Amino acid sequence: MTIYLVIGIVVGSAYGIAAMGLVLSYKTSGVFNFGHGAVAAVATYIFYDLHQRHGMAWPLAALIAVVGFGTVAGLIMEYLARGLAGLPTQARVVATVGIIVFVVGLMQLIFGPSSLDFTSFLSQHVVFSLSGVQITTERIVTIAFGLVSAFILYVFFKRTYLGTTMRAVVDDPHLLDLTGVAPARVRRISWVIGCMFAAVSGLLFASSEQQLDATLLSLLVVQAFGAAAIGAFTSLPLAYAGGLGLGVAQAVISDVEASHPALTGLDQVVPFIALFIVLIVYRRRSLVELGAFVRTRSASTAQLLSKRMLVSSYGVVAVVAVLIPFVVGTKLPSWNAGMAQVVLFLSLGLLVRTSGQISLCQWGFAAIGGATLGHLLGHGVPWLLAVLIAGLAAVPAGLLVAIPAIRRSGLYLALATLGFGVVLEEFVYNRGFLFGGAGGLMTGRPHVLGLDTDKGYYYAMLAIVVVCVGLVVAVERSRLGRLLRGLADSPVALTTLGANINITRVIIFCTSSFLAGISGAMLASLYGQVNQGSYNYFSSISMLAILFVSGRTTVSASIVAALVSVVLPGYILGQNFSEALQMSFGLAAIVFALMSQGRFGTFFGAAAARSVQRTEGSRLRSREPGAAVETHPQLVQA
Amino acid sequence: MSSLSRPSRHRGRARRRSAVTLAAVVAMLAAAGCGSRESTASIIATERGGGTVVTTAPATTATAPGGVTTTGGTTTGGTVAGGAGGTVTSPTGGRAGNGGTVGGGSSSAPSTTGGTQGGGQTNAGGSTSGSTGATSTPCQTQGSPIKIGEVGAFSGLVGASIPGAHAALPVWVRYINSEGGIACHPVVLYQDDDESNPAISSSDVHTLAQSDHVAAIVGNWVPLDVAGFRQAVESVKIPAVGGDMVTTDWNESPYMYGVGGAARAQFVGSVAGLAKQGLTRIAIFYCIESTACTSYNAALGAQGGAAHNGQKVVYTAATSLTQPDFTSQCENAKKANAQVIVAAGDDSYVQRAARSCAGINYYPVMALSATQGDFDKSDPNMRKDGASLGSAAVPYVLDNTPALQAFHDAMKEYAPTAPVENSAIVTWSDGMMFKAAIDALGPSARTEDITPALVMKGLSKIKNETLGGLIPPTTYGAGGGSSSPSPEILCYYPMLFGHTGEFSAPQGNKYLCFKF
Repeated sequence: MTIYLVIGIVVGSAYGIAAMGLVLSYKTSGVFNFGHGAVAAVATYIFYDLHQRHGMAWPLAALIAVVGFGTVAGLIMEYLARGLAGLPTQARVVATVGIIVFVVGLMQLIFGPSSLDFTSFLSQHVVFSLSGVQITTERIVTIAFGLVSAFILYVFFKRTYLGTTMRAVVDDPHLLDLTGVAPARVRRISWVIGCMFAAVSGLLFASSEQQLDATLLSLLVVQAFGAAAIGAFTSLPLAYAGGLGLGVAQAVISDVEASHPALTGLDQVVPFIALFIVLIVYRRRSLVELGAFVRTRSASTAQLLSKRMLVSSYGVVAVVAVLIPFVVGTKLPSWNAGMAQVVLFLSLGLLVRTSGQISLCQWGFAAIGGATLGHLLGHGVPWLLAVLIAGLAAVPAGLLVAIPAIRRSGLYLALATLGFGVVLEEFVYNRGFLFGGAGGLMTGRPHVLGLDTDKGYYYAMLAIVVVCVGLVVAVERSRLGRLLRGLADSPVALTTLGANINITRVIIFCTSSFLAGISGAMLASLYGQVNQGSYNYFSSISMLAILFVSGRTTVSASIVAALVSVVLPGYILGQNFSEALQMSFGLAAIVFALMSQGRFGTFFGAAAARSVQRTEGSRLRSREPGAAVETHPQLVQA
Repeated sequence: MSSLSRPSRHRGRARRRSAVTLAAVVAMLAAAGCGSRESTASIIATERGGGTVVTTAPATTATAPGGVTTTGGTTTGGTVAGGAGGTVTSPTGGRAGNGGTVGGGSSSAPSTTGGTQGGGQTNAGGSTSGSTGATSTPCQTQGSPIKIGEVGAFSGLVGASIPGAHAALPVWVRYINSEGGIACHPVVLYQDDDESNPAISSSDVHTLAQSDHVAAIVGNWVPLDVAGFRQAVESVKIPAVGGDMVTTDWNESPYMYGVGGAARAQFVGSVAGLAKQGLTRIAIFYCIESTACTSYNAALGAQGGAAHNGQKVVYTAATSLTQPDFTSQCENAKKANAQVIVAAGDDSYVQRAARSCAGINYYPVMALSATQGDFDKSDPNMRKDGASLGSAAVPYVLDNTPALQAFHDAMKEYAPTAPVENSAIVTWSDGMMFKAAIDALGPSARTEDITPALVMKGLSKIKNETLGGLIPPTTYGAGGGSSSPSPEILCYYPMLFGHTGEFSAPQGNKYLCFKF
């Protein structure tokens, strides 16, 4: 057992370091940085470029990557966090998720989409052995850095004036301001320190991975979320201890798996199980969401187009949808894939747009639907019935996610769903009852009326999409829709009106998972087979960013999102286009999040006012030199 | 306008809006049907065949990795316009392929190709049929170009581990055209990178078949998106000749013709040779993200591959491709007295596993399929462990037969900077199998346009073909039906990675076969 303890501490130390950086910035800014790993990735790429490509000595390269880039990243993040202050959790999650999507695209654009060989920069010299485990210089440095920084940060927050101000800035920045301490300066320092920790964890992870890949590194740090959760996202020493605990738990469970093969793979998801459990069992007051003072504003029902124009637009869309197979030629497979994903985006839109909930596990629901379809078709169930049952099969998973949704909302719900999605992919997908363990499952298309051809299947999916759109529109226009919008605006107010918000949450998660399951079944039938690689959880993260930038209403946003993220890449296959597209989605998500809550209107209104002011002023000056310039207060107010 | 009443003005605006909307819709539909074919395919310009011929190559453009654009040349009277002796640059992992200038093929009569090529060191059971007839006499006229396609994940994680696959087929095309083409037909290649996206893979196949009218799709590396690829080739009914050989689709689809040892042969072959050395206790680390990994585990465990060799799987660990450390798994394998570790993951996964095990003074032999052989050869832990690999085609490190010599010479001549590794020799073999199929059609192939149906007809004539010792004997059935024409070939070529950091072929050109 001692050996697993040693192994666990070595591995867990890296989790702990990443978790401390995450907690540090969160507890001082109120913004939980989902893009923490992305910051780590950029720092590591900088180190790689300086050290491995250009031969710079590693201490200097590390200094530039950690201190130099950490400072720059901290300042940028502080600026971003300031912009996100006062925005609902949903916008904060989207913005920081956007950082991941943006950074992954940017790094792949610069360094190529392939992972790079990363040479360990710390010595692999064996200093001593403990219970048979060789303790190298690299491992000693990792553990020592984690322990020392946890201690220093603990003392720093408890004993120093700056540490106290860092805690105070979250509680009441205005009060802190009155004491003569600038809250912005305090936040800036904490972000810089947090980003430096991210940079260090990136270097350590890449060194132990011996490879550098933007996606992997961005998501690897996600494992630190579990450690941060153990520290209730506020305690630095506990977060570090949590990291160590998770590392040890992984090692010990791995030992158990050796004698219980059915559990194999469980050790990989320990951090996410811990995250999920903490979010469910911790008391509400132990997990207070920092900075969550503003409720989200539900999507406005006001329409930009008149009713006639709206009907005309939908009519045009319908005609185009019917004509697509006759005009797109060999690109039909891309359109088919897009059609299958419209329903998936609808399922997320119903949660995010209508009810203000967040889900980062929609692809997990889809996987359940896809696997169910495969099993049912294998047993001779008719295709349409199988699709329906596939949707229903995803509902229990939706129920499971509704549990944390009842206890938590906003940020913690997002984290819980992320953890759930990862557990599904890394532990459950591979089971016999889902994708069968080895080669996946055979599926098929309906064998009537020529629906098994690409064209026929397109129309089969179009019919399903129309029905699902009808369902979503019906929900949004019903009493349930009003309740959902109320849920997004103010759950407390809804409760005072006598509505049971827990039931409302359960209903919406079940409906969403049902739609996602249907979409998963449609996807499964696209190619005649389906396996665990077909439903990647990173897609759940990126689809949130894509949906957020794709439009105002659930239906139109879902269609646009599928078009730009699935169909478009099938057309423009120029060098680096995929990476550029991904980067654009990430950047757009950040900008849209920052400009949400009516800030677009404010920004453009003010710009318009300035423009008018300049034009009018210029005109007036040219006609009547010295005449007073009128302002347009109504525009400024807008 | 000012005289118009308000409703009329509104109707006018509405009409304009409708007109604009209609125009936008028409533009969108038009754009939707266009695509960007020229930007996605790299096209190897037609090179001349032998004899006095007049051939106009397709007037298409190809983008070379370095951004150089080349144009298909016109071949007239034995001279070739468009330059000579083009080289194929090593791919950079991007989408652009290898643009080619027209090679300076001589106008002399083409040499006999596809004939008996050495094979003296192939083992019993293998024969080199050496199809003859189609090109045994000089070409009197040159046939129309044979268009072929290649679809693969040439970028991203997969692309990084198969650099040779992207380079080898353009090299093969140049080599074949310099030899006079196939049955007096020059060869034109279209390469498409599908980015491991099944929808793009499917679109690519449709485009190749329906727009470019290729006769076959050759050398397809689609390990992660084979579902989209397979569905498409079955939909458009076009033969896919050879590829990654790591999924069972190569032995299941009626339109996919596997070239070389099957996936299970490579998996089981990676450990089989170790049994004779007394290494019978096996631990399996497999990634959970890919069916290629889970299939590896299943082949040795549930399907009895290890037991067939008299070996025993003593420990199995489902792991993640992102896992930074394997020390716990190594400790478990060590406690189970495993002598061999099967590491079913990507290259860095293999190296991390080796390093973690070294961290507890544990140095088992690593067992891999040959497609995983792109790891860092200077890695001290890998050198200390050593590795045993199973290859679908003859080890690329050999050059002791005419067929292998031709491969190495062509790679040196046309792609001197491209990596010569396992995926290159497998892809080269795919090209050679395509050639063997056309040759098998006999003299009639010279005068006919080569269509997918003809290619499948030729493939159905392939009997015990070894391509001069490049692959185990292969016999195809009739494709296009309800069952696979390509039986699962449970044969492999053993390879070793030794302490010196070099790959070797312990059995030389000999392949080994087994049955479950």
